[in-house]
Amino acid sequence: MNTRGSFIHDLEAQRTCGHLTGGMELICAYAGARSYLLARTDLYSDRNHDFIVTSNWPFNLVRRFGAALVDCEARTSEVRRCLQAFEPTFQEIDAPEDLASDYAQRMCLIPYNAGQARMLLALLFDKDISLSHDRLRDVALAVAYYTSQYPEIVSINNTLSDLTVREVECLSWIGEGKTSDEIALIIGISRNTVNNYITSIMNKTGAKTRSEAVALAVRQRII
Amino acid sequence: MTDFGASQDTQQERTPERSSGAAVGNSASTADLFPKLVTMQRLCGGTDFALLSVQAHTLLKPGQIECAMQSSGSQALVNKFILGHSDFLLKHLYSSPVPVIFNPKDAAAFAASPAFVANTGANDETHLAFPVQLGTIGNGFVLFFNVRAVLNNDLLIDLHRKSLTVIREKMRLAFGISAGSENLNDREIECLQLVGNGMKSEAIGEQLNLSVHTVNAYLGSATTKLNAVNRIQAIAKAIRLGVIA
Repeated sequence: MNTRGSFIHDLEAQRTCGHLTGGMELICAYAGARSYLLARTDLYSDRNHDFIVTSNWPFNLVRRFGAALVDCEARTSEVRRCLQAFEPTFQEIDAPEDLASDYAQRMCLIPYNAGQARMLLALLFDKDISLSHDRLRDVALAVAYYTSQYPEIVSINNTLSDLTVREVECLSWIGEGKTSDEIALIIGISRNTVNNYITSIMNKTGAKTRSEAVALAVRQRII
Repeated sequence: MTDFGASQDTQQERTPERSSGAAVGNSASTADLFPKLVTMQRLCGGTDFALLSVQAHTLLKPGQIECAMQSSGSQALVNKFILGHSDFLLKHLYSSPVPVIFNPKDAAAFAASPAFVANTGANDETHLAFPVQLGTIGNGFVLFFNVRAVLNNDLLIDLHRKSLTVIREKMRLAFGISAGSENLNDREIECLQLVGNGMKSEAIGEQLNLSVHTVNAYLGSATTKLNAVNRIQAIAKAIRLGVIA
């Protein structure tokens, strides 16, 4: 059995132990990396750090560019993001003064999807290490296999799942640019009923405007 | 290795004919993916392959599986497979990235493998399915039928990596021409993003140091460029196109 086969095997064995970090360290070691940061790009918000799943980066680094990285990842265009999924890319670290001198100046970013979750693995390396691109591609799949087994990582809190069929129907017409009057005509109910549905949607989702409710629904692939 | 050599040779003969057929309807380079798939099929000792493209399901419409490419003469096999397993395949694609092995000969060997084992019947052949979920677009499966090679983790991850490459290539070909939203300017994108976050024009104006009329003008021009009827449809279109998050 060669090293790749046994790496996958060890990782699978680690999963049964139930400690996320153990597997992440194996992944790190196989990639030849020194430390990892695993984040949910789809949960990104600039208000808190909940989107960072696990990390053994030095904390000041997490604070300094963890957020910026994930933010940048969350903002790339969808087509480009799809093309980059599971493909390791390298990025220069632009704040060398924060980085201990024995770290390499380039980090490796691996965006991937597991279930409904959009994830990002960012690896830091020791200085002067020779990297294997081949292994990093293995890592992209291995980390997806591994983390998908932890429901608490890849679950989505689906705020829209308790919408009724009628509400989703209204929401999808709003997304097509229809007004309440037009929707009333299309579905065959009164304008006030349509407005009631919309009010109820905004109550359930906590959206402040119709635009926000539609944005939420499109993001969660409901319409 | 020798006992399935014959089927590979016939496969090789058929491939050029098949790929020229594909070249007519689609981009000429889609044909370049055929040799890759044939090589992969050979690695796992399968008799046929298929590349399925999957449309995401929403609450309003169910997901769809279409066969985008297949080895020649496999239509009946592939159609039967899709018909029998479409629910399972759709569910698996959006819940897990691990490969699926249908009816492995030695199930115990996969206890320490991330692969998912699915049994469909006692005497069924072994098939492999590699899920690829790149995002909103570029989703599907690469399938290999009647696989005879000895499967191990190393071979599985190798084939899965190649599956990713093939589907990524296919997507690159299909979406080579960029969407018409590229000409939105920074301010328009910024305003759209903030509206999608639930802010009103007044609040956006305050945050960006613009007058509310300017904000509305940006949103109006963005709506026109996206060919939408109002700003709400513009938001929906912009998110689907990936212009805003």
